[in-house]
Amino acid sequence: MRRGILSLLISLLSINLLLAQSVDQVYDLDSTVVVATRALKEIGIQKNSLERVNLRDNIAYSLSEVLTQNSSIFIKSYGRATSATASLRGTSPSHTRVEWNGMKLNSPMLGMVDFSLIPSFFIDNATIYHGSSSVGISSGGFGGAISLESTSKQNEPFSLEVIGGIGSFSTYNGFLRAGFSSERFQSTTKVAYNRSRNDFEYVNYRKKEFDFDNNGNLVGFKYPTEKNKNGEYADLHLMQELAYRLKDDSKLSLSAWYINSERGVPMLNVNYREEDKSSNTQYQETFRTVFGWDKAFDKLQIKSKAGYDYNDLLYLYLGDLGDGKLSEMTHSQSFTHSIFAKSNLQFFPSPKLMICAEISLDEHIVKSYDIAINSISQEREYIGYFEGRFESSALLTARYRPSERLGLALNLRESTIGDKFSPLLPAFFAEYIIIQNNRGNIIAKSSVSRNFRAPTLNDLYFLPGGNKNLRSERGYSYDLGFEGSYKVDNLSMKGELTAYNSKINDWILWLPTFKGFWSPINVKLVHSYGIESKANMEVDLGNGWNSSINANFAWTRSINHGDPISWGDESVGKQLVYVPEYSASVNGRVHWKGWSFNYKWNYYSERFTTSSNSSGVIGRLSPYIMNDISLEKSLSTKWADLKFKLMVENLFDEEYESVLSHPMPGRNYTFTLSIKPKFF
Amino acid sequence: MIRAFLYIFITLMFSSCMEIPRGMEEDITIGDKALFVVNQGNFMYGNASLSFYDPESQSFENEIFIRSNGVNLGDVAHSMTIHNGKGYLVVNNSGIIFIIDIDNCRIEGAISNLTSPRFIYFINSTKAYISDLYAGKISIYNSSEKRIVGEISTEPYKSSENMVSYKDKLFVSCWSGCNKILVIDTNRDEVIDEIEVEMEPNSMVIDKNGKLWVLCSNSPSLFKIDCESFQIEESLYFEDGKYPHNLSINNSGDTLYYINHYICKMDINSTDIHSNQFITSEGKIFFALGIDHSNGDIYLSDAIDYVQNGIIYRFSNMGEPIDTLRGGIIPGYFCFKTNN
Repeated sequence: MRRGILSLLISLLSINLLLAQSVDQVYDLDSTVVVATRALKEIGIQKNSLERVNLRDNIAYSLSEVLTQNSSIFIKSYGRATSATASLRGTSPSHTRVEWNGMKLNSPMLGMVDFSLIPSFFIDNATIYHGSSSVGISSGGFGGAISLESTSKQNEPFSLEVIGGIGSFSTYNGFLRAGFSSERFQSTTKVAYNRSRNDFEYVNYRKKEFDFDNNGNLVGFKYPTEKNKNGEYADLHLMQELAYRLKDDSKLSLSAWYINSERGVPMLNVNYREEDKSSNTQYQETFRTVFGWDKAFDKLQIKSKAGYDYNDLLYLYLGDLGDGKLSEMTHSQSFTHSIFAKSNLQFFPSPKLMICAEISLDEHIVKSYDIAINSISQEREYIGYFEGRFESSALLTARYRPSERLGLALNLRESTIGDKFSPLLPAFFAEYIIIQNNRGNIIAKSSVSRNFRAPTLNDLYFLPGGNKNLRSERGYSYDLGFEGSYKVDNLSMKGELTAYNSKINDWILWLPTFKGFWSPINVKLVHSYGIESKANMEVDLGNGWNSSINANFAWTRSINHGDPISWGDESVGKQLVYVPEYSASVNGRVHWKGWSFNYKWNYYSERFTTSSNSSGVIGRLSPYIMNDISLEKSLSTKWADLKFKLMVENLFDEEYESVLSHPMPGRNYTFTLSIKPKFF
Repeated sequence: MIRAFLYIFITLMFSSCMEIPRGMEEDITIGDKALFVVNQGNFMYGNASLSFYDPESQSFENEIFIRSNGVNLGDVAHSMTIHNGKGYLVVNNSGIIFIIDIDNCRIEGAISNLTSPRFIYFINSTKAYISDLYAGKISIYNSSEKRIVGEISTEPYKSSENMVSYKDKLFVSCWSGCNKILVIDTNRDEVIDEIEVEMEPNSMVIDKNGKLWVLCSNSPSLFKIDCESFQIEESLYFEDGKYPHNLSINNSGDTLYYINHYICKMDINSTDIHSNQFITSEGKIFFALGIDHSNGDIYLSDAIDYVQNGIIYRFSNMGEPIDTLRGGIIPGYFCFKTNN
C-alpha cells in the first residue's frame, strides 16, 4: 500500500515533468494561486511571518534574537553568541523543523538547529508554521516549522549596502550586500562578520569572593563583579544568490552559504577557576548550497531543488595541568554530509482546487568521534561512530474551496527512514469565513494531524550511550483558532487566537545513567496544550506620524504523562524542564519623517530545571522581562542613502539567566551606520 | 484609547521581576550526629546542593549550603570529608573545595584554582591529598597553613580518584580510562609502585586485615590486594554487563558492601560475589551507598531520572527499612558527622 503510494507519486511527478516541457505559455502565478480574498495554500494554516523590518533590525542579531522579540517561541539561550535553540508549543528543539530555501537545516546528528548561527540580515523571509501547519513543510514538527528564504530579488540594476557597527564589550559588526540585476540575471552577495571580546561585566550573585586574613581565616566576602569568561567569538558568513530566467521563462537559482565560526564557550558563573587556566572553544565550518529550477504554466507550477550541506563541528577543551601550559582534555568532532533532492508540483485544475505532490530524497552521512588519550598506552583513541542514512518522503495535498467562505485541505505524507516506513501521516485542515466585508473579516480555522519523528543518528549510534532500540516518536495534534482583521481609514488591526492540543508518544529523552554517561530512551507520553495569540495594529497618526505595534502571547502547558520510572518519580503530571508557561512579546514602532523609534519588550515566566518542578531555590529560574529600544534616522543625500541607528539592549540592566548558571549581559549599546550608494 | 496604550506601555517598561537568590543567610543548626548528603546536580547546570539528616529526630533539610551562605554550591559536588570539625566539600566542575563549619554549614574558607578535584583525604591532623580527574597530579594541602604546599605527579596517568591509606602508604585509584592503583609513600610524597587491576577502579576500602579491596566497573571485577606486598590475592569477576560500584566497609572492617543492581553484602573471607544480595532494588536504581559506622545503618540513594530530586533510603544493618527521604538532584555521596 505504502510502496504503491510512493510509486503513484513518482509517476505523477514524472508525467507532469514531461507535460511541463511541452507547454510554452507562462501565466502570472499569483493570480493563479489566489482565489477571492484567501489563497488556497493558506487554508487552515496557522502561521506567523516575521516582518522584514524586524529581520533587518540589528546586524548583530541572529535569528534567535528576532524570534525572541517577535514571536511566542521560547529561545533557550546559553549566552550571547552561544547556542540558542527553540521550543515551540512546549516541545523539544528537534521538534521545530527548519528549512532554508527548501533545505532542511536540522542536524541529522542532533536533530536541532542553533539559531544563533543564522544572521537575521541574511534572511529575506521567515515564516513560523505552528503545530499541524508544519506538515506541509516537513514531518517531525510537533512544535512547528520555520521556513527561511533568502533571495536574489532586487529592483535596481546595481545596489550596494554597507553597514558597520560598534557595540559594547568590544563588539564589531560588518555587513555588505551587493546586488546586480538585469533582464534575465540577478545576483546578490552578502557578507557578515561579527566579532566580540564579549567580556561583559556582571555582579555574580551565584558566588562570593572571600576575604582572608594573614592566617587564612575568613574575614569577609562580597558578591564579585566578574567578566564573562571565555566568551570571545568571531563569525564569518558569506552568502551568494544567483538567479537566471531562461528563454522559456523557467528560473534557475543557486544559493550558497559559507559559515566559519569560532566561539568561546563561556564559563559558568559557579566556576571558580581562573580564565587563563582553561579554554573551551567551539569551531564550526559549514557550507550549504541549493540549486533550484522553477517553472510555471497555465495551471501548473513546478519547483525542483537539490543541494548539499557540509558541517564540521569541533569542540575543544584545553586545561592547565599544572605546568602552566594548556593541554587538550576534550576533543569532540563531527563531520556531517547531507545531499538532498526535492520536487514539488502544484496543479490548479480549477480556481477552487489545488493539488500538490512533492517528493524529497535525503542522504546523510555522519562521522562523530571523541579523541581520548589512553592512560595505559598513551595513544590517541577515537571513540565514535560513522553512519549514514537514506530518507525519503512523499507528500500529496488537495486544497479545495467549495464556496467562497469554506476551505478544506487534506495532506497525506509517507516517509522512509533507512529501511523503515513511517506510518501514513494524514492532516486535515478546514476554515470558514464567518464575517467578511470591506472593513475586515473573521475566519475560523481548524486542523488535525498525525505526526512522526525518527531518532537522530546520535540518538541511535552515539558512543557512549546511543540506543539502537529507540522507537520513533508519534503523535496527534488538534488546532482550533480564529483570525480577524479590521481596517478603517487610518487604522488597521489584525489578530489571531489559537488553541491547540497534542499528544506525543515515545518522546525521546536523553538521561544520565549510573554508568556516568547519558543515553536516550523512549520514556514519555507528553501532552502539550495551550493558547497562542498575536495581534498587530498600524495607525497613521497624521502629519507624517505613523505607528505599528505587534504583540504575541502564549500559554503553554507541556506535561509529562509517561509511566513513572519508579515509585518515587515525581515528574509525572509536571511541566517539562525549561518550558515557560507564559511567554509574551511586544514590538512597537513609531515613524516620523525619517526618524524611527522602536521599543521591544519580551517576557518569559518561571522555568523549571527539574522534571519534578521542585520548589527549591535552585530548581527554577526566575521570570524575566527584557526591554530594548532603538532610534534610527534615515537621510538621503545625492550620492547615498544613510541610516544612523543607536540600539540599547536590556534597557533596565536586568540581571537574569536564560539557562542555569549561564551569565547574561546587562545594558549594552550598539551603534550602526548604513550606507547605500546611489549609482544613478 | 491612546491613554490606555500609554498606560500599558509604561507598565511594561518598568515591570521587572528578575531575582537571583542572594544574601540569604539562614541560621541552620546541625546537631552532633548528622548525615550530610552531597547532591551532585547536573553537569554544566551548577545545581549541586547539600542536604543534612538528623538520624535521631529523623529531620531532613535540603539546600542547606545556599540557604546558609547565600551562594550556590556549584557545578557537580563530588564528595565531602570531615576533619577536625570542618567539612571539606569538593565541587568538581567549579574547581573548588569549600571548607565549612559542620555545626552551621557556614563557609569558613576555600581551596581554589584546582583543575577538576574529586576527593580530599587527610593522612594526619594537617596534611591532606587532593585527587583530580584531569590534572595528572595529586595536590598536597596543609590545613594549618591553609594552602596547597606541594604536588605529586601521577603521570603518565591523568586521572586520580579514590584514596585510602595504610600505615605510611597511600593507595590512589586511577579511574578514568585507566586500570592502575598507585602507591604513594606519604613520608616522601612519591609514587613508589603501581598495581594493575581492571579498567575503571571506581572505589576502594581497606579491611581489618590490612587488605585493600578494589572494585572495577569496566570488566567488572573485585580485587583483594595485600597492603604490605602490593600483591593481588584474589581476582573475582562479575558477569559481563554488570556495573558494580560504591564499595564500602562496616566499622569493624570485616564486611564489604557494594551496589551491583542490588545491595550486596560480603564477608571479607568470602569469594562469592554472585549470591550475596542483601537488599533488593524492587524498581529502584541505587546510585550511592554509605555506611554509618556508629550503628551500621545503610544509606542508599536513587537518582530516579537524574533531573529531579532523588530519594535517600535508610536501612538498619539488618537490612530493615527505617526512613525514606527526598534529597537533591543526584544524591551521590554520604558523609557522616559523629560525636568523635
